[in-house]
Amino acid sequence: MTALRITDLVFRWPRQARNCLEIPQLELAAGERVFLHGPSGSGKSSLLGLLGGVAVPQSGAIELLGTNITQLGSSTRDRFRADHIGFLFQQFNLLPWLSALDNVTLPCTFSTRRRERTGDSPHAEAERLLGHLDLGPDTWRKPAGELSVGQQQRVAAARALIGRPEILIADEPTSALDAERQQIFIDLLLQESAAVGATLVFVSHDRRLAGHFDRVVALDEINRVAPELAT
Amino acid sequence: MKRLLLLFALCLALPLQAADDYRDIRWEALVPKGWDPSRDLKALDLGNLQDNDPRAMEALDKIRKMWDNAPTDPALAGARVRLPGFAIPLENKGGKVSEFLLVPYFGACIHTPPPPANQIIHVVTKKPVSNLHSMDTVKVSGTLSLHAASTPWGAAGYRLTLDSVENFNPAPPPEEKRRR
Amino acid sequence: MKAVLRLAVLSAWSRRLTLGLTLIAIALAVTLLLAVERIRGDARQSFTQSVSGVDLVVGARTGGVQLMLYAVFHSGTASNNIGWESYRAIASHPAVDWALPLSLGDSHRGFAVLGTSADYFDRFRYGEREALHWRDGKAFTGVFEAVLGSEVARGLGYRLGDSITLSHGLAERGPEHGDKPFRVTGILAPTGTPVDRTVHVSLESITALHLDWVGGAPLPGVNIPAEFVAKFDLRPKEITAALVGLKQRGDAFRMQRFINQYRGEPLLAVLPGVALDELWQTVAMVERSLLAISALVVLIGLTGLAATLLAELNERRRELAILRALGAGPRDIFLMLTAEGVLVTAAGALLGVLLVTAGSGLAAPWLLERFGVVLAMRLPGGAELALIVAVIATGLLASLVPGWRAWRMSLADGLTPRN
Repeated sequence: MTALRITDLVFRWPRQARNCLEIPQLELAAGERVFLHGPSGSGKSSLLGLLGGVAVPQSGAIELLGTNITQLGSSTRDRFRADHIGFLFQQFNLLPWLSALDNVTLPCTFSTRRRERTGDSPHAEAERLLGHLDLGPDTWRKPAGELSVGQQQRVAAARALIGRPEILIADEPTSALDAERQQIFIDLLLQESAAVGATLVFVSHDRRLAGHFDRVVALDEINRVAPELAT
Repeated sequence: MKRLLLLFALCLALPLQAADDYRDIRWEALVPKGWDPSRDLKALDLGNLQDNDPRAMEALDKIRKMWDNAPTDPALAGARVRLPGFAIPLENKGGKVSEFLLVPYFGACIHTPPPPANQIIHVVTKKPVSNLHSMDTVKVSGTLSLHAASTPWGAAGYRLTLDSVENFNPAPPPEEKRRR
Repeated sequence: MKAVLRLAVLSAWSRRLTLGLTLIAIALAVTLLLAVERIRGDARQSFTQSVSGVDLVVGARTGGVQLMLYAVFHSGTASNNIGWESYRAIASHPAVDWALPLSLGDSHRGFAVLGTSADYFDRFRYGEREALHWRDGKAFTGVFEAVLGSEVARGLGYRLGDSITLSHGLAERGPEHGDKPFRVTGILAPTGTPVDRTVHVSLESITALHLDWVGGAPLPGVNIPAEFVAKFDLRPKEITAALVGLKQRGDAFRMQRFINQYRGEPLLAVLPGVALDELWQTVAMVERSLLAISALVVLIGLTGLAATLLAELNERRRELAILRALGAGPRDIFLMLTAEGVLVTAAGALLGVLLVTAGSGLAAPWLLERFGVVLAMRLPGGAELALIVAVIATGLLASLVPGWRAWRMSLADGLTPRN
């Protein structure tokens, strides 16, 4: 089963002269954990936007779980994203004025499907996930802004995982962590995504982290557009 | 069948007809027929009088006095009428006017002689009227009656129990004037 | 969508310091707007309530509004008095049903003193043909007896049988008629009109007070003690004004003409309704300006709100991107920002309503005492509610600006804002 299939994708930002992305082909199988190597300027933010359905390519198809999201209307795309994709960013993933627990359960307020997949008990599921990610109950009710960066990233991971979305997209989630923690976090992520059977797309510029992934894809190789030099 | 429909239509028309059974009158209708205060003046032959003849002034004064004591017409008691005029608020109830005087001309104040007794109507409302100000041009509809009280200016005055009033120049309440 | 609105509330709460100040600004603006409207309405109401069933108010030849002010509202001074003979000529006119003489000029601790006849208490009507009621005691019968309005008794703590002295003139501490104290024989029930803040005495008492006075000061060396005043003729020579009721209300104009053309002395008669309308016309200009200014202040407050929300938007780009990642669309973001603005406006308006209600309660006694205006401590009525709705609607319009900006921003930023 193909989780993601990109065909003849062409994307350019409005008011830009040259294309940003030209990807003829990319396919990810369900449950694959892929390391997508992309330095800054290689168009990875644009690709993530397209995968998330917040941007629409000028031409080409993006099939997620069998659905071509480029054909969907914008609110349908928003709903698709809410239902099937969990995001994890480099930093500032959380709403600082909500507690850790409330942050984790957010996707369940946006998606009834994900809520149902927690057995209609998002809080219990959130507690379980946080426990798995080594976050004790003393952190659960704290406002997310008061947690350390490492703790915040783990809360963000729990949020991405809750409700078992089929696709996880992580954009440089370890860049803000210190070196020792980076690999630990990645292993945690790999473990958890395997546990829920999700397809993981881990985007990073640091090739050294690629070790434990099923597959490594270089954005430079699949993208026909040459990357811009240092921004 | 057709006759039934016609009857039905007539029955519908009746209440509508009844609603508009006011007689549109003019202020002259309030003066009893056959009453003419200028008889004496007419009797005088103005062309044959000398300048400053006292009889001319006397006749005019007499007209003025008669106007002041002008009688009302008892035949109008109970009449349902509609007539235009200018309103002078007298009493109010909760910010709305409950009684007002209706006069035939604008500015019945100290600069002009007041109208005679049969040209002023004391209007009493059933439901107080909002937005009625001094000297607003109105058209009243209601039932006339005579109110007896012995005064030097006539034995009875006209009163009207108001059914409805149309105000032709209501001042908009200040709240509605603002558009923000 | 509900999820987004709930987050809007929580997000606003997390920024409560900045938003709180904006809210207070809006609240104060709304308080100003409602206060102006309320005082305007209540003052007008108080004035029209003050007299009922009176066909003509008669006084010296001044302006109609001025005559109403001192004869009915016991406020301000008369330029001249009218002679007792003139009053008698009017009162005995066959068209007149009743007449009440009024004599003003003295005061008691800031409250006006009114000299009148004993049947004032039976005749006088206010509001909707309401008669005066007694809380305690009864009318004066002789000289040096006084009937107090409810506010005078309450404000100065007087009871039946108390003794008071009157001051000459209207100043708070004028020359006292100290040798001729008055005994309180009656206290009236509250009316919500200037009656409440007036001390009523007989006309003879006024004459008696000034027997040994000339030109606003006691005659030096002459002192007529209270017990001897009866030996003098206490019938009034002049009064300040009179209230007249006619047998036929329609005779008002004719009677007015008769009085205005009276040969004895220059007199003025006005129809209370007409004089009040004149007053409102003069005042309307001021009212409208005040309301316009208050409306402007509200606009300033709401502009501040829009500016605050716009300024914060930059800080919140990450927050908005997170929401987008979770599944919010640009339209949800727009609604969220707009809802925040409307929420702050509504909360500010609510606070403004509370402030004006509390403020009316606090200011009411002072307004009643000073100006005779009854300001009810009540929740907003029809006109005020319309104003509040207008404020919130304008707040909605103002909030569309940050809402639209947020929409554009979130479209441009997508999931990865550049900051």
